[in-house]
Amino acid sequence: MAVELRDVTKTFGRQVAVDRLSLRVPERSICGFIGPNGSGKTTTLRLIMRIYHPDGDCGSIRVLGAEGMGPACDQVGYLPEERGLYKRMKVVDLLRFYAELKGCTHVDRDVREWLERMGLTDAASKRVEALSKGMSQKVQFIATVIGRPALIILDEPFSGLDPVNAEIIRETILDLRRDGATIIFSTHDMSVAEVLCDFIVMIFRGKKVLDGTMEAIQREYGADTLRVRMHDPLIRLDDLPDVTRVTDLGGLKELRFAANGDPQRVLRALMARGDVQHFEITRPRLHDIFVRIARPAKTEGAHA
Amino acid sequence: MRKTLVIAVREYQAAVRTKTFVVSLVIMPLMGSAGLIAAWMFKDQVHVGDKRFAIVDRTGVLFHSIAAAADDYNETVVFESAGENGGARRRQIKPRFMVEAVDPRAEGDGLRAELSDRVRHGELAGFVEIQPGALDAADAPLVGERARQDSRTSGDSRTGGDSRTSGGMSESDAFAILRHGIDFPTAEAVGRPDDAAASGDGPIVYHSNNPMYFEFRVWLEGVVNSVARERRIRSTGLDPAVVGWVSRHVPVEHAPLYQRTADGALLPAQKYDHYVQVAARVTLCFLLFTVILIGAMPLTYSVLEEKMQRTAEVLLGSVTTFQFMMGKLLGMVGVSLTIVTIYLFVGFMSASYFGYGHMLPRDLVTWFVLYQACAILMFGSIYIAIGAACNDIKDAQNLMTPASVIACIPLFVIRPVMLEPNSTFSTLVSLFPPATPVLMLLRQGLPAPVPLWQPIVGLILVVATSLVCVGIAARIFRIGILMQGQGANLREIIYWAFAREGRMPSIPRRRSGDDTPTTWARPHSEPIAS
Repeated sequence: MAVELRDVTKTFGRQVAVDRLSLRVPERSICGFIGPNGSGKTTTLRLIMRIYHPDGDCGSIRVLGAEGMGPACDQVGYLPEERGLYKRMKVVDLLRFYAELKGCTHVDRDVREWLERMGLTDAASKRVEALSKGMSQKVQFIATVIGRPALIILDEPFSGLDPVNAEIIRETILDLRRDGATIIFSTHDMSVAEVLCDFIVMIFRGKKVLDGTMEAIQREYGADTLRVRMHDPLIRLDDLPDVTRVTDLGGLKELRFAANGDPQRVLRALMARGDVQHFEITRPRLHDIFVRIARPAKTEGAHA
Repeated sequence: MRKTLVIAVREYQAAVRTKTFVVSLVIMPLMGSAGLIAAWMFKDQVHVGDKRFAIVDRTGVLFHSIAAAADDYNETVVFESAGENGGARRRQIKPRFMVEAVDPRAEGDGLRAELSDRVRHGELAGFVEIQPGALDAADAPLVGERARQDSRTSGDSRTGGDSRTSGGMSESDAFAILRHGIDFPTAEAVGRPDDAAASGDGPIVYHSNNPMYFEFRVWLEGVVNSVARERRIRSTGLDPAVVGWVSRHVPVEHAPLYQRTADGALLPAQKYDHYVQVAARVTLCFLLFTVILIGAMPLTYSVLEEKMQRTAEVLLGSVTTFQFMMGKLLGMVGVSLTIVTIYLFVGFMSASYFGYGHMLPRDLVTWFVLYQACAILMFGSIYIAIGAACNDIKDAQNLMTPASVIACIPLFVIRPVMLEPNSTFSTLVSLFPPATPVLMLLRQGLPAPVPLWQPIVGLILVVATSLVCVGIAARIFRIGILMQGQGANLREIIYWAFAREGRMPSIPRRRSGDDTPTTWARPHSEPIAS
């Protein structure tokens, strides 16, 4: 295992940020952390990085097979959620600095290669403060991976990136995995997590509420979702038989039917109301699962 | 260690490879000597307009002497001496004193009010009231009392030698006359006018609305005392030559010690060299003090900037907090050493060029470097911890104040240490670690020798204190550096510094509902692979 957490707890004052969390991330895999804001994702990543330490004798953390692994380890690359670079340094000097920190032997060559790979060659001699947000995010990404670490931990690597730059980062993550790295990242973008991750872990209120492959998670939640497109998009669907929830995606409507419900009965009811252009029995999307877990609790929390 | 050095090099380059650094290298000595330069530049910026003073002379004899002395003053003292301008046109460098006599028979309070108004309106620079018995009462009681004291303790100490004056009077005869032979009038005998007694003033009072201008008062005092002395001498019938001999000033010069050369010859005491050498050594101490402050204080802002811009967390993905902090400290030690190397090099080269190279304190350079490195570590770690514990500049400035006061202790005690460098106080205060670098170096730079054990003990204490400061600062730093939101208060900082590791969850919170992550990190272990 690249990362193994056992019954790890972390509290800040009276607030339990991570509550008896156990987790296993296989080597050479991509693991996505999802969860609402403040659920404990960043704290978990910092615990893995040993920037934070678990409470007292609660649990254990093994990284790359060792318990003592910390940020000093050159085999771990970490991209924190809050981006921070020395603004007055030139890009090339900054990357040299991080490469030296990570113990690179061919610093100049590595820096040059990564700048070319990320399309930043022209920005090499610019100061960081002169870069756009997307460019500085790519610079920070290079700083994280320039030492070719075995474990790469990325906290919200896609936030604030335009689709082109997000695609570059996504491809690079896949390349790094092909080269043998294990990647753990947190994200709010469910579509990215769905397509990119081998394993998905959802943390909610400090507890792990989902853990597994996308297929296993969807299997667990069953085929209780219908995707429907009606000729008239304004037709009311929330009172259909066996339908417990309707999510309006625009032209497409996502219907969730009860556990003992009959999709054929729903289809008949739909046809009675108008022309059905699309009808699909499918598994719930990750986004839907996320909302199913998080929303009721949020409501509870709001009433509390 | 590699990572610490990488960070140190970055810190060093970030500080040194800037235009600001080069400019500050030039500006700093200019600022340091700004007072001297300003004094030199503005030495001629003196108001030389006439100053008018009203004299209310109730003795009836002093005004003429004062007016004559003022004429003499206005002709001589207010101008540069001939030698200063090579005999060319004389340049006025001081205001002239214009004195006007005021009728002393006028009613006292009305006159005082009128003269005070004239001063307020700028017609006069001041006015002087001289009471009728001023010349006789000046210091008669003191002289009479001294004579009585002298008569009680007479003789023994005076009988050892009995040199004679050129006029044939022995020294003991002259003392006898001064002590016993004359009945000096006392203040009681002379009596005081009622209005002076009522006002509570002395026999001669100078009134003005400018307490900072005392040149006229000093001059007037000299004139009046000269007249008084002359009158007293005349009244005693003494030979003015004897009086002149008795009151002759005997100068005592201060000179350094003699030294023996290797071949046993005695080197004469070089007074000028002596003062230059002491000045050079004291300057070295001030350089050390300045470099400590300019080297250590920026660390607070540097850490604060990294914390606010979230650079710290990025770095903590690659290094431990201790490596991070030590890297910054060592980088700043390097910067400060660069500064002093440049200054010392320029200073030594300049002094050698002008022939003063032998006066430079080469023997102190090693101590200087050791003290400086330790002081930067000691104060730098404190300032780093402050930066880590705060979340904005205002908080940091509040916490920096006490640290800066501690750093300034040498300034508070520099005078007694310079006057008595080997007193118990000087020894103790120079062994107080925060003050040791500057004060011990100062004592070592003064001519009175300091026992070797004292600088050694001082350095050991400074090193030990530096290590303790670095250790405590590291504990504060590794907690505070990732803490966002409200900055820590003093109680929390102390808790972080001294709480047993692993007990952090019980840290006292500042306010209920504050979920700002405040965490406790154990020391990071060394990397298992690198």
